[in-house]
Amino acid sequence: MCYDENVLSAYSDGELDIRLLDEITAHLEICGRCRSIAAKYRKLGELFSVEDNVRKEAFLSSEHTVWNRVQTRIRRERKGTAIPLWRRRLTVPVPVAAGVLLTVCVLCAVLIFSPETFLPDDTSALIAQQIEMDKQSVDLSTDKTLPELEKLVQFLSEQGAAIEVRIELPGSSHFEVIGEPQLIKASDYRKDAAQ
Amino acid sequence: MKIFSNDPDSFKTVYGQSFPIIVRVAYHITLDIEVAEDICQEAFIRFYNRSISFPSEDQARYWLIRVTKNLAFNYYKRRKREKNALEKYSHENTQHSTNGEEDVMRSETEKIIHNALDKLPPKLRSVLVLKEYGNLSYREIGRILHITENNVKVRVHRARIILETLLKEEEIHVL
Repeated sequence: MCYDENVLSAYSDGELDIRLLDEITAHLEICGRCRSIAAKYRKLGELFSVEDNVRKEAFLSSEHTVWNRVQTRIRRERKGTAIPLWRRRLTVPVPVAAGVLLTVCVLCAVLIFSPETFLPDDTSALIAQQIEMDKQSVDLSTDKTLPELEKLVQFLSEQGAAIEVRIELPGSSHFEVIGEPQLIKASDYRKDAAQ
Repeated sequence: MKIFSNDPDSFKTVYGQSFPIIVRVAYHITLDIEVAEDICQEAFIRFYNRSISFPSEDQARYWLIRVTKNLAFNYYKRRKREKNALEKYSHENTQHSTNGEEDVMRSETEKIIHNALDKLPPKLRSVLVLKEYGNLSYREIGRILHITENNVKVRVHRARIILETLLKEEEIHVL
């Protein structure tokens, strides 16, 4: 059985598996047709190698020429296109990026939830002063009797401008009026007037 | 071994391994040694500037061969168009770009093979050039051209058949 020219072409290139290669080698010994086809491809390959040898020296000298030209151009391009720092590409491994992100998140959380730790000394002192002043506030709502107005004004002036003053009216409509000024809820006043 | 295209050591290794092949590929497509040198230079500059990594030296080599082949065919096609336009304009028979000096320098076999290669369609020419001058296996050629090994085998065979006919026309009988 003769082999296809396609297979014989691959045979001349040594591109067949060892079993088929042996089979064809054995076949070529007995088949003149296949032998001549295989010889044709071998001769064609030799023509190429003869032609290549003509240029062998030229290719060798090209190797050095092109190397020098490539190196020169790389150096020139490196000088000419120095990338600014802010445009340079940075490669960071994913675990490192994740670690940095986590650290930033933790720091932000600490900063948000405990500002005292990170605030400057004078800010901390101001906050401490404010807290101290809050402690000194007087809850008048528990007092059965309202202090006299002069005393109240004196008390407020002693505390300074930062103090918060809240005057609340009684919640119920039945309340006892003691002394002056008389603070009456508008709704209760209207109710009493109607009666 | 992983190859970084802009690492000086890797670059030197790849250059040493690939140059003998790519200069042959470029030359046998363009048929001009100076153009082939320019194309090789361009391919290596692209390789360096690309700043990419390859899983192996072979992969880097395949990339370079592919780029060189494409650059060479682009040049070849452009030159052919220019030549056709010039022929149409001047009505002169400028079948080949040879002059007397080149004819003397170039051997007869080289000239005939070049003429025959020049007439092959690019698809067949690229596989034959890679096979005969690049000494690459069918598998390697397939990886470079992104075709199957069997397709390479068929194309190499077809190219040889056409080449044989063309050489017969030039009275070179391979059988």
